[in-house]
Amino acid sequence: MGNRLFVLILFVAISVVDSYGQRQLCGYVRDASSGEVLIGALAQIEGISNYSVANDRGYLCINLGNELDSIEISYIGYFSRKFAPTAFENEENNIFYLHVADFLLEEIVVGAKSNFERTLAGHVTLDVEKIKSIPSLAGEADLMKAITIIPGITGGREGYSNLHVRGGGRDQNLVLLDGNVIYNNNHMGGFVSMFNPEVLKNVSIYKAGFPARFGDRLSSVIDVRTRSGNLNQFNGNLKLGLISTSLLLEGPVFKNKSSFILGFRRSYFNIVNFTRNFNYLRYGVGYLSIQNFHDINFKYTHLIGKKSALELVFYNGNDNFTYKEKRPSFGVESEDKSLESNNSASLIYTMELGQNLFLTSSLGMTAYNYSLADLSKIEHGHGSERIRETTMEEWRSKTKEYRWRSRLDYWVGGHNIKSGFEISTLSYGFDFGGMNNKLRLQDSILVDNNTVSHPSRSDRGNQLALFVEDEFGVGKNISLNIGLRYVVYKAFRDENKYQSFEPRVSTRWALNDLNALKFSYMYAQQYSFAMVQSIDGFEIVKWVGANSRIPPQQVHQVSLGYFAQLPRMSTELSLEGYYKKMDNLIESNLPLTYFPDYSKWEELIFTGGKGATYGLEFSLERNTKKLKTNLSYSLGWANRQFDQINNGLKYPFTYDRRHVLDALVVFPLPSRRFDISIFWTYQSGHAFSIPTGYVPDSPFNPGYYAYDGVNNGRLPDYHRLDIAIHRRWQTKGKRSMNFTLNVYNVYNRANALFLYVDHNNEVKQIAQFPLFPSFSLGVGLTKSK
Amino acid sequence: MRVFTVLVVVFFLVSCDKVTPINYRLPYDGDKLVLLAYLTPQDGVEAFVSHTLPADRKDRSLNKIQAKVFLIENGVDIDTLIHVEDGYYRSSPDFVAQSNTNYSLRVEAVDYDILSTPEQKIHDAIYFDTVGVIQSPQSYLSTLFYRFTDSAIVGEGRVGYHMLATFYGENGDLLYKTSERIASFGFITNTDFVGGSYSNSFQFRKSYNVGNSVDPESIEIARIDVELIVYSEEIIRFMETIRYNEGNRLDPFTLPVPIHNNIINGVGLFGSYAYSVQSIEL
Repeated sequence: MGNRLFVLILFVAISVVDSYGQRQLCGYVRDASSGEVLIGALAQIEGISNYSVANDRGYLCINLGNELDSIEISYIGYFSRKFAPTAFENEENNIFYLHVADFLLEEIVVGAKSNFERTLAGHVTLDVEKIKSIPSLAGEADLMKAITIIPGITGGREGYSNLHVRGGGRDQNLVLLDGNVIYNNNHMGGFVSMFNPEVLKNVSIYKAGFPARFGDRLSSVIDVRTRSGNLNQFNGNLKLGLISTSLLLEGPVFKNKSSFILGFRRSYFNIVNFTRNFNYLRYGVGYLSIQNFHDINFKYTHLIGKKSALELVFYNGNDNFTYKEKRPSFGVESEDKSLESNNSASLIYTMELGQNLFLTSSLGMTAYNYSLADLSKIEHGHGSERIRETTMEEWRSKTKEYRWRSRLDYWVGGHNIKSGFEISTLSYGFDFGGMNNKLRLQDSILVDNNTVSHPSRSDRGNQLALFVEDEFGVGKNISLNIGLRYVVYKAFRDENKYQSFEPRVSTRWALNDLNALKFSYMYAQQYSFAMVQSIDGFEIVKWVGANSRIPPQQVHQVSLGYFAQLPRMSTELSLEGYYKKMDNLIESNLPLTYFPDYSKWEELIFTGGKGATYGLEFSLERNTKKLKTNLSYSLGWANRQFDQINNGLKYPFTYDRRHVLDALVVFPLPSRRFDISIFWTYQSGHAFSIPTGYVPDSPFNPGYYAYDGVNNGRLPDYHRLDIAIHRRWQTKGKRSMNFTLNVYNVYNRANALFLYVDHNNEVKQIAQFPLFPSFSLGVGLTKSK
Repeated sequence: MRVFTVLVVVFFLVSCDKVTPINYRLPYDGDKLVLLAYLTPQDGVEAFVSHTLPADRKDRSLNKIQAKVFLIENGVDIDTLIHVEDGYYRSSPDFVAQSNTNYSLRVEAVDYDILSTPEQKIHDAIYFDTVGVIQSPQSYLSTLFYRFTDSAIVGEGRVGYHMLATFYGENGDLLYKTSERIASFGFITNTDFVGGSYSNSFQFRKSYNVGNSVDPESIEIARIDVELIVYSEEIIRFMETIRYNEGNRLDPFTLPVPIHNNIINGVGLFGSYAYSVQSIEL
């Protein structure tokens, strides 16, 4: 490994020296209206396939070489701008402003080209406006569900915000919110994702060939950046939806110096449940069902001089499920309460150390807590023996991570070198407590008192990662991103440590201006994993870390793709193939439908699993004034193999779907400020276990079902049509308004959530989401100028 | 406002789960021989021989199977089990299982492959340290309490324990029992109280109600037979997998739990358990 590292460093060094001495131009790319930085904007010299990407502060440098052709700066969802190199140098303070292009009204979605141009295979950026245009369930634009239109990414069970990327598990995605790792990206068990679409700015998805600055996950990186707020003027927006309402406020604190953005969302399922809860609220009997979530996004950005900036980022999300039942005539009173909280905060400092050297340093904390409390009071007996029995049980799990990350971006001679380190500590813990006491009501004497508890457990895993990556061009047609990540991980109390060298290579070969081939190889290890507990259909995630008994998971992935642009048809298409091999996977050894003793969590899982996934992905995007079309198809296989499962034989992964076809068509009607989005999806049924026989009743045991294998059956194929109508207009008082009407599952297809054999031995299916209309209304709080 | 009202009404009308029959043919690769058999020091070997059925077949009547069940001791055939009725077999009355001896079964049936089992040893019965009933004249409830000590040597592996109470009336009529001897719920394993003692109690009504809970014709309980049952690891695994399979069968998003099967060329289980009984007269 040492030799390989040496060769890699040598190669990078030679390339750096080779192109050293060429002229560079550097600057920030910003939104012309709000002044917000545009992370990931591209600068490119015309006629050369090499480019430069703006970093987390929108800063980039481009090597001019001997060329005097114009430079094009582009960003997804914005008009591209072309500059002569001289003009580029004259821009005020080296800030380059781009103007927003209306996704619905413009013929070319500027920056769509970026996915074609980027070196990394499997790297996709999503336009936030496009996310909002996709018809959605219950009218909530949902990032995680929108991501599933990317080929190779499926959403797991219907209606939920889990992602399975190229046959990977739901815990194999590194979800980052402004650089902080998010350990639970769901509200309501997955029905709504945690990302408030109103505050999103930039979404990058890597499903192969992760750059070396990312690690600790096997299948994907979902890098979500939120807006930093308008530096020039105050804005606000109030949105009323069927299940939630959201409020967005943004503006300058000191004009052109600092800005803030505050997004708040709150559900109101309680209103929907009001009729059901009426008896409890009015008379104190019957049952009360409360389901709420809220989230808050806050970001404060302060520019320190011309070269530095400080950002404070905060997220808080809470979910509350409470079910109360009171039946005085039976002497029964109970309460189940499930609380989830997600918190994330970070302080990010960026500084331009030199014209071509940029520092980004951040301190972050993220925490995910879950608790379930169950309280019941039963009164029984008569007279002096009247007893009130109170039982209380509570299960808690906690995940918390602190991370310090520093990175230097260095542009030299056509190379964009990113190097730095991450130090993180992930702690997780479980505890359970319960008590049962019996009180004689007449004389208030405690008759019996039992307290039970599993030993609580808390653990910690510490990780240090060093990384270096270089993105550069070789000649006019080849660009490369080569990187290496070194990780050392040690679980608290363990004597042994794990370390890994993780090479990453991506290359793009431009066959000509309109055709390119991309290849990537990556190796990565994952040191934290989720145990998924299913309670009444809701999935609760409990994160644990590698230790001496549970080794880190590993992945090797190769990806090869052909990318093309057909400018006359305003079309971009791609065809990618991949093969992914995973080792040391885990799987629950018994279903976690009950509450096992998590203090012995290693005993609840099988380890040493292998996974192999492979497939082909096709994508076509066509954008004209009259029609926006997005078509994606993937053909894939995903298998797992554990010594202890299925007699050691290979079996299909649950979310192995052979075919997935998604089609999104948007018809803009600009004259009426209308657009209509139509989305149709077809997916092969995923794998599930189906009984292949019945063992009849015996004198000793009731009958039971026998299975000849794990995931030996397939659910019926899944397909669905959704339609959304968006209307945007201004009131006479120049207030901007928008209205969205969504119809989910237009032809009311009963898609099977699962099948079962009922008590009449008849196979039945449960479908959860029939025809579902919903709407939302957005109102601008400030007047347009 | 009218549009809003209509939308809310439509939302309520359509947003619900939908259960529908589906024309889905469950796979079935033919009948397999089923053997469920238990070895106890008290009763020798009891076995039930049947065959699997298609999971979705409405008629769950069984074909008659012409089978012979052979009892093997340390690798040598020593007995042929007696067919009592309808697939139920038991060892001859003079068979007494010996300690430190390996027992297994072989089943030969017309039209089926020969089926065999792994070897099992008998478990020694263990006895309650204490067991009794507390009665209160003022209360309609009584309390049954018990305590026993783990019989396994620490580190020896899992042993399962199960307490079963059978209630009798004054005429010796069986009124009810809390469960079967082999039960997927209610048993505990010694990993929960390694090497120590386990105690518990539960309350029961002094009278057994034939009908409703306030039935004046209730029958007074006169005797309780309390059994302490000890399971082998094979039975624990069988019962755990049945419990989890039942709990998990309607959730396709977790891996199913195949029922533990230790029968070679067939389906079912051969396990070993022991029990002790203590009678309490009320």
